[in-house]
Amino acid sequence: MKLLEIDGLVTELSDGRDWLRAVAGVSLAVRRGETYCLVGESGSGKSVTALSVMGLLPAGRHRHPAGSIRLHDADGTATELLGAPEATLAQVRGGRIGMIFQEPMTSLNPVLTIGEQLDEALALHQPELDAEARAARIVAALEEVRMPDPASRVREYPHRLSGGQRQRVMIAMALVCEPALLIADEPTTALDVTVQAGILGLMRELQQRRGMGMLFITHDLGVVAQIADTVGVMRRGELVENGPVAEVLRRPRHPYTQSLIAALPERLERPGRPRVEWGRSAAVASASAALDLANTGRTSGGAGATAAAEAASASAVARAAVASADRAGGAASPAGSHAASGALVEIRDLAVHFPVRRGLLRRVVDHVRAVDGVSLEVGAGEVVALVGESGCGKTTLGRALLRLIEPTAGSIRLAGRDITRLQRQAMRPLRRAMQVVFQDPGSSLNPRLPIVTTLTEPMRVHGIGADDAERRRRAAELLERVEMPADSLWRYPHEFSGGQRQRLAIARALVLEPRFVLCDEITSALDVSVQAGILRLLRRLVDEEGLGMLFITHNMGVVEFLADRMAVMHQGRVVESGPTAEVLRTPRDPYTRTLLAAVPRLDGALAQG
Amino acid sequence: MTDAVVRDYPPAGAGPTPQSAAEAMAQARARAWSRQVLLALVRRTGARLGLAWIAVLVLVATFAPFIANSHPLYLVVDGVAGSPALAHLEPVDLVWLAGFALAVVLGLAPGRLWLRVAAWLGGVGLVAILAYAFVAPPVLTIYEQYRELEAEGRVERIVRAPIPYSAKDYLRDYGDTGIEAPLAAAGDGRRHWLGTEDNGADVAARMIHAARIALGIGFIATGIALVIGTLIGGLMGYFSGVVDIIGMRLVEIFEAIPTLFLLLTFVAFFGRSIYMMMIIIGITSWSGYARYVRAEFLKLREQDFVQAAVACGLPLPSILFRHMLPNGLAPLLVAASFGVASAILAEATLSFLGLGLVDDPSWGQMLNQAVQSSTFNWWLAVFPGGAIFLTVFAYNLVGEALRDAVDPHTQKAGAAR
Repeated sequence: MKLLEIDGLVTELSDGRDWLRAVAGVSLAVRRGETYCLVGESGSGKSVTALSVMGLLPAGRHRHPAGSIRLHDADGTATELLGAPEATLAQVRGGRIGMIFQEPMTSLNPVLTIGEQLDEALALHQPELDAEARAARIVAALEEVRMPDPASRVREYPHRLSGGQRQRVMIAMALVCEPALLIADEPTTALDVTVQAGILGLMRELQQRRGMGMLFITHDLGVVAQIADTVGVMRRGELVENGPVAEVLRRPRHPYTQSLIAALPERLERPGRPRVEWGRSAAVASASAALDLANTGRTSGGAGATAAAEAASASAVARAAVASADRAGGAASPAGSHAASGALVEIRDLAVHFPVRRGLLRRVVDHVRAVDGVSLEVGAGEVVALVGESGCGKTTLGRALLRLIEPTAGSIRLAGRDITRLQRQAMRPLRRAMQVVFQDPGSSLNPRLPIVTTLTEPMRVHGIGADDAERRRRAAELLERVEMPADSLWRYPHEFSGGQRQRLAIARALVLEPRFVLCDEITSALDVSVQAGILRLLRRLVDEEGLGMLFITHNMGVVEFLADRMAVMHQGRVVESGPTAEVLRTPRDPYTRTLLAAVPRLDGALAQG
Repeated sequence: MTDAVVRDYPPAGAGPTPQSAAEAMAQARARAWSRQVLLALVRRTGARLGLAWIAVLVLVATFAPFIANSHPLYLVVDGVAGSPALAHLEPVDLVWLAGFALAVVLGLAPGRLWLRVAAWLGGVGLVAILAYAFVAPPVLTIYEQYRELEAEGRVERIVRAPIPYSAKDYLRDYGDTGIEAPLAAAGDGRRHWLGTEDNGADVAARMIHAARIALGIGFIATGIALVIGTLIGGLMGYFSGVVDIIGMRLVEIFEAIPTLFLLLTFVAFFGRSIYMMMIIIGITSWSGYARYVRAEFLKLREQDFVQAAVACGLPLPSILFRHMLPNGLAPLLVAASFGVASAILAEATLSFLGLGLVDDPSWGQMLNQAVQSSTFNWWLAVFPGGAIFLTVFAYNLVGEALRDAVDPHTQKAGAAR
């Protein structure tokens, strides 16, 4: 029995001058007790479709040249929502259709208690209930979303709750009026995987118990496989494929759906790597890195005698590394060889504590142990993935490793040289050897500088290239290597898409010919097809240039595709590390097991279903 | 491996989808940020009006000696031709003219904005030094000599400025002129469009010459405040910690100093000087800018591209002034345009209180004359008051438009109108 029927919906949005067709003729139907997943990449119009249903698009900036959206009642009457008067929509919103938004941190009003916020919706849509009945309903609703201690939580303000708890409150708020249809717009995207698993399970359970219809919007095919009955794939405002979930995901008919599934990192074909030669080549690469450093140390005379001494010791380490690698021969396992050769980057018992200050005199009352004794090494030609949920300290570790924040204890060695306590001046020539690419494509490039300046300025500072013309030529070559057109040089960051900006950020990191690159969640803001391209590029760079890479991520599929070894971080400590395949297949630590079990996987879900 | 999967999807031919629009934007010619802001600025009616008024002021201030001058522009007496107006040009006049000419030339020249600004400052500085060293107009100026020559019939040809009176020409040859309403002269051939003031000088001429003080004090005082504020605020924001704590205390100390009181004290001790006023207004008003820059830098410091610049080992000046400052400039520009307006008001206030300049004209001083007389002389209140109002209003309009222009969110809204 149909609940929501969207028929030939066209939505056009205005940017002030032109009308853009965001939704171009979408027809779909959500039945009672069914979960309909709308999946697509960013800009495909899936959110605009949901907002059209709710009538929440900005007034005067949208229009519907065609189509209809009908909400069917249990008794067979239908309400047309498109172009309905505001009074009708206000009744429908919250009352018959509940909605959950993506960002739990901003979708609750911070100055009202969660009880007040729940009460408001309830008082509006069910005026027959008195205050006591409403209070009981609210507690029951919070209990239903498994909020711990709901009776006292109603008096809490949103800032006291974690992201997952806030999303539970949002769900309670959407469900408290018992709507017939629930629209969820990427409700778990901002959450950690273990929290996401809990929320998805909860939503599915509530939906089945109440026989609700659910329109679930996501970009994650793993989530689709877990929660959907029916799935619709959107691309550029059109519904390209539509059908039962098992059928669409197992035997996708439309080429776009096929390409989406093929681009999942765990489905990507791993390029063959010279396994046997690995030990030798990695050791040689890391040795040559050490020699590079030694040379840098010698030429940058400012650092003085200590630098020269350290450089000498570094080159000694390098020579020893080559020798040991030769002794170890081709049979050495990767793990064995870099232990023997001295890894490119090696951290020992690294700790970063942030002081918590209180009171007038700013006395230190406590420390936040963001990173609490982590040991890790990355060899040349190797990708090490650092996996963990938000707040586990993985980004802090990365920044401390690059000396962007000061470590509290422990040591960091770059190609055998201790850089933990180097002064800013002494550090500068070494910065060339270790580079970083950050998460957010929106802020990783200076918006006021053309790409050419972003790329050539570090070269000039480090004395790479004889003159500006040569540096520009090098920059152009580099753009080619990251698969960007050469005329990108003269453009500004805002003219590029997110994926392109990340490629440019990679180019910026490579411009100094580093030996080690830190990638901090660099694909997590990107669509899956764009992500696939970036991952392939990274793997190629690592294999061809013998770079060492520490790849920080929370995405297990990415780890599986990219990483040689992985380390799992939890509450500032590494709980498990080892070769990727081993850790993924036979996790030993209980936390790793929880983490892996929580990851929504296309294959696993399909196999069960 | 299907390579089509890897790339972002190319736009299909069908329909104006969001992707193809983004694609079209990427195709658009690369435009520097400063150009974009400028374009967004001139698209706004308010900004256009404000900028037009400021442009008029700049023109009037630059060419004041050719617009209102008792010295004729061209004069032939007893067969000798000459230009008394040019001969009596003061070093200040030359600096204004040179500054204007340089601004026009450099405005049209290619090259980086900051380089051109630096060239302009250097050029104006050089001209100022040369002008004060070598240009010496006659010390004694007798404004009435040309009128006397004319009365004697010795003048063969004469070309006068549109307003044939200097700011300090008190028309002594006409006897007791005193205060006269606009166009109410006693039929002796004088014509004062805006009347005359207490001492008999032409109000229009004085207002034209006063435009310089209004513009100069606004720009120089705000410039001083901007430089100090940016430096201190930038260091506070970037280093935070102890530097920040000390800097903020400094800001608080300077915020506690009442500008007007300090100005009064300095005027009382060291006499009246327009330059001293500029400096004092400048060094007491930087604290606001420092706060703005500090807040911006604290935010920017955590931005990925700044962290990446640090990770590239770029030197500190580059990080501060190349990667952070241009990105934190937007609120500063807005605050500065309001700051210019308030500096003009500060000078007007001081002059109104009778502590401004003695002989040189300023709008505030003319307002002061308006209230000092026993009768209400409306033209002494309306014209200078109107000029102050319009100028401050113009700067506020520009400031407001600038705030919208640098903010991408309101920029879209502006385009919709």
